[in-house]
Amino acid sequence: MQKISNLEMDAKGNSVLIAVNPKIYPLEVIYSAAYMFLDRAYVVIDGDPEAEVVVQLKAKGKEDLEKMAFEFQNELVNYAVYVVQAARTSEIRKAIVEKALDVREEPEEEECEECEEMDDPLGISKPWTPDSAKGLKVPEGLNAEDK
Amino acid sequence: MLKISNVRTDAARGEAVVTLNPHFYPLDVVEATAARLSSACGIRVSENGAAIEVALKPTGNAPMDTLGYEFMNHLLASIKNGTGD
Repeated sequence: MQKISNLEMDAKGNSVLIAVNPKIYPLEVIYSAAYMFLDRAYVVIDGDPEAEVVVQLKAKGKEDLEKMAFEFQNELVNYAVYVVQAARTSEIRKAIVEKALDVREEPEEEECEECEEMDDPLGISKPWTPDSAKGLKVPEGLNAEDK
Repeated sequence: MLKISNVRTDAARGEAVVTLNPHFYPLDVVEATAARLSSACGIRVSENGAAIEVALKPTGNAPMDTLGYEFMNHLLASIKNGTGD
């Protein structure tokens, strides 16, 4: 039977060392798990971020060090699952937030190349100006100022 | 055998000296945390590329080794809460 022994007790120093494989638990997960122990222990993180991260938990009071070490490893699993689930559902959460805020990007209007080159012999595309309306009768119901 | 020794005391100087791995504790976070705690104790931060060294001189009767470990916990909180910058 293969054994995993990644714990080392230091009863004299009231601390325990835990070796963590960073390929299994990313640094973000290790920080989160360690953060949970700030009220019960002093936490020191060291080691090699590529090969082996060593976490020291030095109990602030009277603690069962082995139990605390196993609790830390449970927290590692807990946050690892959280990170994986967060990654899986990130697109869904993004879609929900976009729907709620309605911040979808409108598709850009395609420019009509033919429109620019279109002939306009009657000058229809030219803007209608007030000068060219002088002398015309204002239709009933239309305010003269709106002209 | 696992080995870690980041906190030591310098009795001659009356300081706690914390050695930090910059891969886990970025310099900007260390400096920001040191600045936040500068009213509680005297802090000196130095760096040699491979390690960051923080010397903490207690202003009151606080035990020196505890001061070093407390600083480590503040660092972790700063990293986790994004208050290091």
